[in-house]
Amino acid sequence: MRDEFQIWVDAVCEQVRFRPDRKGIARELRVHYDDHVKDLLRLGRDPALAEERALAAMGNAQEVGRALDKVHKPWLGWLWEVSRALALTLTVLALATLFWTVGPDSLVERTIDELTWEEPPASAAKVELEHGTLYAAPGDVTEEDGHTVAEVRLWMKMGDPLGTECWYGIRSWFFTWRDGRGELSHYRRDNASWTWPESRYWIYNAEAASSGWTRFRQTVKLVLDEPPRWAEASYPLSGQDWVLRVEWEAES
Amino acid sequence: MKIDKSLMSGSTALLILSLLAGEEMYGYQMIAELARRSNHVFDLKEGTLYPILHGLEAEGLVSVREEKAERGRTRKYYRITRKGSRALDARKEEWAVFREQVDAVVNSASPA
Repeated sequence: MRDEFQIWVDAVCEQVRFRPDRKGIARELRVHYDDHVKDLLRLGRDPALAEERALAAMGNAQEVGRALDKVHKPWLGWLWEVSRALALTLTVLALATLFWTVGPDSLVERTIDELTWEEPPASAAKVELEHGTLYAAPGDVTEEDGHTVAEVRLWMKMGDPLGTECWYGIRSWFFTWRDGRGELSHYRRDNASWTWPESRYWIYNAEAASSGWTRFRQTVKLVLDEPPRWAEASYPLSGQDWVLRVEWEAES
Repeated sequence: MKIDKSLMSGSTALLILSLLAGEEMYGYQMIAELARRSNHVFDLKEGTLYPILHGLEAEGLVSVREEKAERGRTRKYYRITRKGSRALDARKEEWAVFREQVDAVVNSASPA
């Protein structure tokens, strides 16, 4: 059975043509009514009388409903709802487009990379290439699960953002890793849980053409059986004759 | 003393904005405060407060914030905006002129 106030508030809401607002209105009026009842009970009124008084004080349901309907105009309400949905759709579309062109992982990684950018050290090995300069420097060497993990830090600084015509030429660099003593079991990228045991390449700027970024940084972790003295990166498939060599100081 | 409802209808927005000029309030608090400050002369039908408040909100003269109250209920607090404060100043001026002119006419109509 509906209480008297519910009958009153339903009569109010019936007048409001913009249905999505009805629930909020009813909730606000209910809180007001409860406040009034509570106030009267505090003054020692009988509960039934308190409810009756509080309800009478709310006024004529039709009158209140019509006045609310004038404020909660259906066309304005729907316009608001439609523009909200439109804004949401456009945001989703914009993000999807961005992710499609740049790539979600890359977008996040590149942004972090830009914010935490560090120049390659002066001692870094470097090689001048057609579109920019590639740098490499030794990073930390740690023990992990019975293996030695040696970091090779890489930087790529390009002269200009790549044009789309350059995409296929230097989209990925296939490196061949060699090291002095250890046998490379696999390598993985920093901050990445997955490994590339087979395909040994570094995708550093697949999205460069569309993103406009001109500098990239990456740490490759070589997983070795013994601590390394040196490692070399080359790109034999390119037909270019260059080798980047990083050397670790021997443990004392 | 109760006053004619039509006399109040034009000035309720002014009264509400004046109440909110001091502090943010929820609906029932406004009704109680209005009754207290006017010595129970302004006894607004409580349901009619909300169309006025929602209208002021639509005009950007007040803003709303929700707060969890007891028993899981949500209470809406209204606060005057900067635009609302400017509107209040303008309406106060209008009211002063109106009152002055009504007094002038009413007093001049009195028999000498």
